[in-house]
This record gives sequence, structure tokens and C-alpha cells, in this order.
Amino acid sequence: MNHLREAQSILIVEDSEDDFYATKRAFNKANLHNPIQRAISGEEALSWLQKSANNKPGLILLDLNMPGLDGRKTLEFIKQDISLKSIPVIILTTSDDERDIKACYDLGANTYIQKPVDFDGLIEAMKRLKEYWFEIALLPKDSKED
Amino acid sequence: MQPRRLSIRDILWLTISALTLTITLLAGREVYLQWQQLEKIESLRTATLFSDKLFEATDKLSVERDIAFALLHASDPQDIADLRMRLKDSRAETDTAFGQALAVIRQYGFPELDALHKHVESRMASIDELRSQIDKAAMLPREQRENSLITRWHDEVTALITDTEDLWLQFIRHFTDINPIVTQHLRYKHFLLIISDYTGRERSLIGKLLVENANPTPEEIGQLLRWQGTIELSWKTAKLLADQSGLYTQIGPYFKDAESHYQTMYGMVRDIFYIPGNVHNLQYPISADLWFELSSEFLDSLNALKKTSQETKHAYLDGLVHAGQRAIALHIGILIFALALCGYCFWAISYRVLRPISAMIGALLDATQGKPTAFLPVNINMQDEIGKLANVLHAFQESGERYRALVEASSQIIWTWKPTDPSGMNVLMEWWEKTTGQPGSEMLPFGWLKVVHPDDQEYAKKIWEDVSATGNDYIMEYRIRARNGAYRWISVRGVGLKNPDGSIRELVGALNDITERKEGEKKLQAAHKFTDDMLNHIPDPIFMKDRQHRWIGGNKAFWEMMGGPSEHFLGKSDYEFFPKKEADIFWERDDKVLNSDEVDINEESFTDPHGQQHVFSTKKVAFLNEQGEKFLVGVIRDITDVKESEAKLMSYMGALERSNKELDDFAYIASHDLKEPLRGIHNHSRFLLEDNSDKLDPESVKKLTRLVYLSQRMEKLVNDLLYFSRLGRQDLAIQSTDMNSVIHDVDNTLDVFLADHHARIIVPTPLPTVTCDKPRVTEAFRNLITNAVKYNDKPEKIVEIGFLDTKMHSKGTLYKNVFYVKDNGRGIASEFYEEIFRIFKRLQNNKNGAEEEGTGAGLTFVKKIVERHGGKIWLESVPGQETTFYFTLEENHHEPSA
Repeated sequence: MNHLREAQSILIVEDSEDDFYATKRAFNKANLHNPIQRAISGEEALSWLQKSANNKPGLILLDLNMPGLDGRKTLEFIKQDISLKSIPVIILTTSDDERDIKACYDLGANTYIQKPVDFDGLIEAMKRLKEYWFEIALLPKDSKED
Repeated sequence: MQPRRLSIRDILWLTISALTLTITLLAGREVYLQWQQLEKIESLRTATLFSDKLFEATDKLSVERDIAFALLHASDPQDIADLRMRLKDSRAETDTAFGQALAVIRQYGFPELDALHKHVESRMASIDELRSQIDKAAMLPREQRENSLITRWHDEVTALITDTEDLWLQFIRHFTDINPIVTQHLRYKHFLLIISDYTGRERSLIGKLLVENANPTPEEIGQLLRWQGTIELSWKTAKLLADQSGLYTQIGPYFKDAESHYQTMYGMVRDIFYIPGNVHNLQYPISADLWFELSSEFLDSLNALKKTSQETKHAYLDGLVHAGQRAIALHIGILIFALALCGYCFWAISYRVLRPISAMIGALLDATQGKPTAFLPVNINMQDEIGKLANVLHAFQESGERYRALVEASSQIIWTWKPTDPSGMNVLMEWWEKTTGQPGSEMLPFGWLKVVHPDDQEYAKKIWEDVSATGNDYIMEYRIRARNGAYRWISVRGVGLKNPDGSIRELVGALNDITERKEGEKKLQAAHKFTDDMLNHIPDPIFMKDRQHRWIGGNKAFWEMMGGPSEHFLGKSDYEFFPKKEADIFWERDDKVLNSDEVDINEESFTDPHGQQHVFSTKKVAFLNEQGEKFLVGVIRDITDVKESEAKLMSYMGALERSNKELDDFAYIASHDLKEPLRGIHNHSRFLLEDNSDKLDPESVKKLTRLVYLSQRMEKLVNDLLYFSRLGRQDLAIQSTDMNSVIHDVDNTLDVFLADHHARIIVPTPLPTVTCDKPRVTEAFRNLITNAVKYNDKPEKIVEIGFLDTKMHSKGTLYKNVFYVKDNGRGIASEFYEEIFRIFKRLQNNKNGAEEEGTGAGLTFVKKIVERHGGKIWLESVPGQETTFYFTLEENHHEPSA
């Protein structure tokens, strides 16, 4: 089956150390043990993606509000790049602003999740993500190539 | 010879010789042009002298005509002898004048004049023939003289004058455009000629009527009217032309004198001939002699005008000739001097540099080609003027009958008065007695003053004293007491005739009853006063301007606004009082209205006399006055205060918009920047609890757990705040909503909650369908129902939902279409009726540590939702028993009438 594999890396683009730590921890709690790559900004994420052309991540978690190249711009670059556009991008952000939600889906985001303040909520979200992307959703072969 | 370079000295010499050569050539050219112009002016001077001769000839002819008339009508042998003597002299004068005039014309030899010339000569021959017939007729007794002779004589003389005029016109055409001023003056002369001719015709026709003591036929009256029309117009045109020639200043007093004399004559003619009474009564109040005497006074003034006009023109022409001669002399001087200098220069440098000089001469010759002197444009085309005159004549012909009817309807009394013989006053005395009841015999010398209004007595007496002593012309208006005691206004006009020694011989006058006119004037004045008063009581400034943007009127408020009395501003325009920038705008806006007939409303800035800035809303409309001229009426409203408050309002609105924007930003901050640290606090507390549970004592665990709880609660508060701010900002999604289905939905979603709390919802009667934002109203109901259940201590909790057509608020306002949510709960004390809607306000604090679920924002949301719909929410409650929330979803209420 063409689901995400456990060996594929997950790229988390997150400027906040606290949020990154909480997310990583929630991943563990959700029994997700893929290699995690962190980028602290949009620029870093894009440059890492360029360098890892042969080792593309299976999933990208993207924060919206970041200094410099923000989440929206980063999303736009990813979805316009023919070699990256099929990687599922999960927007994980504090904002529940309608305009943000619409803009992200328009730019090609695959999922939009508001960061729960409650840690249990975050664990729950990660569990469901795992369920969906690893067990339910089918992905093109390309994105699974190492 | 060794070639040599040009030195600076050489170049200087060359330059000087070039300059002198230029001056020489220019001076030569100027001498030539001036000479030509002078020749033209000389010819013009001669031509005008000739035309004066022609005028003189026609004048002499009309004098002869009058004397011949008198002779043909005379019956007294002594008179006949006198008149024949005078006629003889007059004929000689006429012949001489014509002879001289026609001799001059031959010198010019303009071929196209030959025909006219011959024509005039043949007319002279027929005049000669008539003269001998007149002589023969004069020998016969009055009765045997042929009447048709008078008419033939009249016609022939008139025809000769007309032909002479034609001749003059044809002749003078050769000289127009030489000098525009003289051209205008010649045209002016032409109209003087017309005046002279037509007054002559008038004089002879009236003279004839007086001599024959005959009524004028309607044709004759029509003729008189047409002549007068022509003469009136000629006065105006002559004045205009004289004005344009610029020579009017010199002839002005004579012009005015002659014109006013004519006006007096004109008045007399009208007074004498166009009166019904006189038409039926052959007794004319004045004799032919008196008439000729009167008109000779006018003739004198006209001749004086002619003479002055001629002199003025000659003086002007002489001035031109002298100026031309002086200019020629001056230029010849310059020419000689320049030639000498030029010769010297050439001598000085001829042996050095011949070639460059010859080149330079060539260049200089090229440079001296210029344009001929241009003349001033001439403003009036004579043919046009004559065409206009013809039109006016035609119009007069048409209106003649109408005019006659008009004058016939007026009542006029003509009288004459001689110091020696008061019998000329008979008609007047008769009228006087009939009107005032005072016997006519008591009128003179000052008895008539008794019936004059006391206020007018002094004035009337003074004028009459002056007139009867000096014989000056006069007009006066005063009131007399009629038989019935009412006062009537009369107007009296008199013309005095004097003996050669200057003593008064006779006064001729006309009296008119002008009561109706005066009353009309009075009414008009009252109407004017009413309008003025009304305008002056309007607090908004109002003004009127003419086509040239000059103020022609305004109300009190306007002059106050301008800061001075009306005399200060009338006849002046914006530029004299306002900064150019403001005046430009006023002017442009005025033009827009005057040219388009559109109403213009404009906001203008205005600087008042104290330098204070105002903003005006000015409404301008164009109207036509009785003369068909456009004028403009403007109404000003000072909207400075309105503008200021408008600006304030705008700034408040701006501030409000900014503050809404700030609220928006705040919501964003709350959602992101506040939540992020909150999340950190929460997570780290959790991690501490998870990672170090073995190291932590129970108290620390309890405190950390509390921290986790508080951070969760904090998140709820932030979310509620965010929701609340969005409720106020986002537009309502209005749709037709069945409220029964709304309640049904709420019932369904709260299913478990209701069951847990042993609560149920009842809807006694079906609810209506209303237009509202369905999701929000659902939210409101859910909040109200949840509250009704939560704050309820009864074992069975009942929530009743219903609808009322009308419901009276406790403060007395009557509301229509009211929904209510009623519970059987704990009730709310009335002091909390308002407070309960405040955000995060909860009336019950947790006593036993049990945490409340809500944040206390629910009712605030409900209130906001209701208010966004334009509605109102309030509650009634019986503590311990029940609470009812009432609300409307539309703006419909009636204030208490008390």
C-alpha cells in the first residue's frame, strides 16, 4: 500500500522552541517514531528541502507565523515546486483566522490544524494525523522514494 | 599690396558705418511713408471741407424751405414783403453754397459721382422753377394760391437733400480708412445730417399744420412719429460714433444742449398734436410764428453743434497735418545727419576694407524690408448702421397707429401765458375750475397755490416765480385738491420764449393729470419696499450680479457679511475685494450659471473683512430682467460650523475605524501572542508533572495540576473574548428562519446535557418565522437554555420558550414581536439585571471548590447577538422562583407616551 512509511522523515517548520518540543513529545505519545527534522524558519526549511532532493520528507508540519519567510510564503514555494508539491503539508498554527485558513487551502495545504493549548489535545491531534496519513490516505509513489 | 588683417579699429568703424547706414535707410523709408500719409490726410482734410460745404448747402436749403412756406401761407402784405426779402437772401446763400460744393466735387473727378452730380444739378433746376412759381403765387391773395405748390416744394426740397446726402456718402467713401478717428467722425456727421434733415421736415410739416390751422391726417401723424423715431435713433448713433472717434469730449456740451432742445421740441409736438381734444378743436394753442420761433432756438443749438463738430474735426485734422509735417521734418533731419555720418565713415574706411562693406550693405538692404503701417480697425460699418436705421423706421411705421391710440387716451391741457395777455390760459382755467372747483379767474397770479397740497406749495411757488421771471424751460410735479377733496398729481411742462432783449415774451406749457402714474409708482415703491424688507429679514446673505459680474443688489445680511454699506460694493466685482484665488473661483462659477442657466451650488471658502475664513454653500441662479438681460442671484449659507462638525465627525469616525482595527489587531494578539506563552505554561507544567512525578511532593503536584487547569481556563477566556469581538465585527448572515426548527436543533444538540440535568424544553405555541442570522440566534437560544438549566435548583427543570406580539418593558416602552425564555430556577435579584450581561460576570462563585464550566460570557454573547439584530434584551425575575429573558430581533418599539 502507498501509505507513509515509518522510516520517512517528518519536517517540522517551527520557530518556537516550546512548541517544537511539545509537538515532538506529542509525536512520541502518539507512537510516531519517524526521524524528525526541524527547521526554525521558512528559509531554512526550503534550503533543507533543496539539499535533500534525494531524501525528501514524507510529511511537513508548517507553522504560519514566523519571522522572515512566513508559513504562507513557504507553503507557496513548496506547492509551486514540481518535485515538492506532492508532499503533504500540515499547517499547525495558533491562528484560526478565516483568511489564514482559506489562503492556506488555496495555496495547496493538505490539512489545517489549530494548535491546541491543551497538551492532551495536541496528542490527540497527532494520533489522528498518524492514523490518517499512515493508515488511511494513499499517496503517489514519488513522495515515498528515498 | 600686402593683404592686412582687420584690426579692432576697423571692426569698430565697420560697425559704426553699418549702424549709420541702417539709420539712413530707415529714416529715408520713414520720410517716404510719412509723406504718403500726410498726403492722404491732406486729401482727407480737403474732402471734409468739401463735405462741410455740402452740409452747409443743405442747411441753407432747409432755411429757404421754411421761409418759402411762411411766404406761401402769409396773407398780411407787410409780412409778405418781409418774407420775400428774406427769401431772396436765403436763395442767394443756398445757390452759393451748392455752387461751391459742386465746384469742389468736379476737382476730384470721381467718375462714379458724375451721375449723382448731374442729378443734383437737375434738381437744382427744378428748385429754380418752383422758386419762380412761389414768387408768382406770393403775388396772389392767399385764397387763390395753389395748395399743391406747397406739397411740391416740400417734396422737391426733401428730394434734393436726400440726393445731396447720397452724393456725400458716395464721395466720402473714397476717404474712409485713411484715419479711423476721422472716419468715425464723418459717420457721426452723417447722422447729424439726418437729424438736421428730419427735424427740418418735422418743422415744416408742423408749421404747415399750424398755418393752415388744420388737423393732421393719420398719415401725417404717422409720418411725424416715424421722423421722430429716426431722429431719436440718430441722436443715439451720433453720440456713439462721436464717442468712438474720441472727439466727443470737445463737442459734448453742444451735443447735450442740442439734444435737450430737441427733446423739449419733441415733447411740445406730442403735447400739441396727439391729443384728442386738439384733434377735434381746430384752435391750436400756439401760432405758427411761435412754433418757428421755438424751432429756431433748436436750430441755433443744432447749428452750434455742427459748427463745433466741424471745428473740432478740423482742429484734429490740422493737428494731424502738423504732426505729420513735424515728423517729416524730424526724419529729414535724421536722414541728413545719418547720411553725413555715413559718408564720413565710408571715406574713413573705404581704402581699407571695401569688400566686407559691400557685403554688409547687401545684408543691411535685406534687413530693411518691413511691413507698412497698420491702421486702427474701424468699429462701425456704415452700411450696417443704415440698415439698422431702416429696420427701426419700419418698426415705427407699424407701431405708429398703436402709439397714436395710446397718446389719444391721455389727457393733456396745453396753455400759453404772456405777461400781457393771459387769455392763452383759458383752456387751462376751464379745466382747473372743473377739476378743483376754484374759479379760473382766481388762479393768477398766485391764487392757484391755494388748491395745491400744503407740502408742495413752497416748491411750486418757487418754480413758478423763477419761470415767470426768467422764461426758463421747466418741468414740475405737484398735487392739487380736487372737488371731492382728494388730491390729484399733475405734471406741468413749460417752454419759455424770449424777446431779443432777453425779457420773457411767452410761456408755452402742457399740463397732465398723472395721478394714476403716481399711484402706480407708489404701489411699485411699496412693492419694492416689501421685497426689500423681506430680503433684509432673511438671515442668509443674498446678492445679485449683472452679466459683467458686478454687484447690482443685495440684502442686509450680505452687506454685513461684506463689512460695509452697499454703496461700497455696488457696481464693483469680486477681484476688488477678495484674494485672487477666491475671486477666480467666484468668477468662474458665476460664468457657469450665466452661460448655462443651470442652478449652481458650490462650497466656497471666503475671507471676511476681519480676515476670518468661512466656508459658504452658495446657490446661484440666473434670471432675465425686463430688458432681457441676464442677471444672477446668489444665496449664501454660512456652513463653517456645519463643516467643522462634519470634519469632527469624520475624525471621530476615523478614530472609531482605527479603534475597530486595533480591536481586530487585539483579537489577533489574543489568538497568537497570548496563546503561545499560555501554551508554554500549560505544556511545561504537564511535562514537569509527567517527567518528575517521582521527585515531586504531593503539594507541588497539586499546585502544578492547578496551573494546568488555570492555563486551560485562561485559554477559554481568551477564546471567548475573541469570539465576542468577532460577533461585533462580522456581518450578519440574514435569512428567513423558522424559530421552531431553531429550538428543535438546540434541543437535539443539548440532548445529553438536558437529560443529565433532568431538564426539558417546552414550547406552548408554535413560534413564528423571522428574518435573522440563524446560526447566531441558535447560539443565543443555546446559551439562554443552558443558563436556565445550569442555574436551576429545582428537581425538575423546565425551560419555556415562547413568542409575544407585544410586551411592555418595566421602564414603560412597548416592544412588539418578543421572544422569551423562562425557567423555574433560582431567580435573579433585580440589582443584577444589568450586571448579568457583563462579560465574564458570574453571579455565583464556586463555594465548595467545584469548578464552573462556563466563563460567564454566555449572556454577553446573547446580548451582543440581539443587539446586532437591532433588538433589545431584558429580564424579569422572581428570586427563588423563576427568571424570564425577553428579547426582540428587530428595531420596533414605542417610547412611553407619558
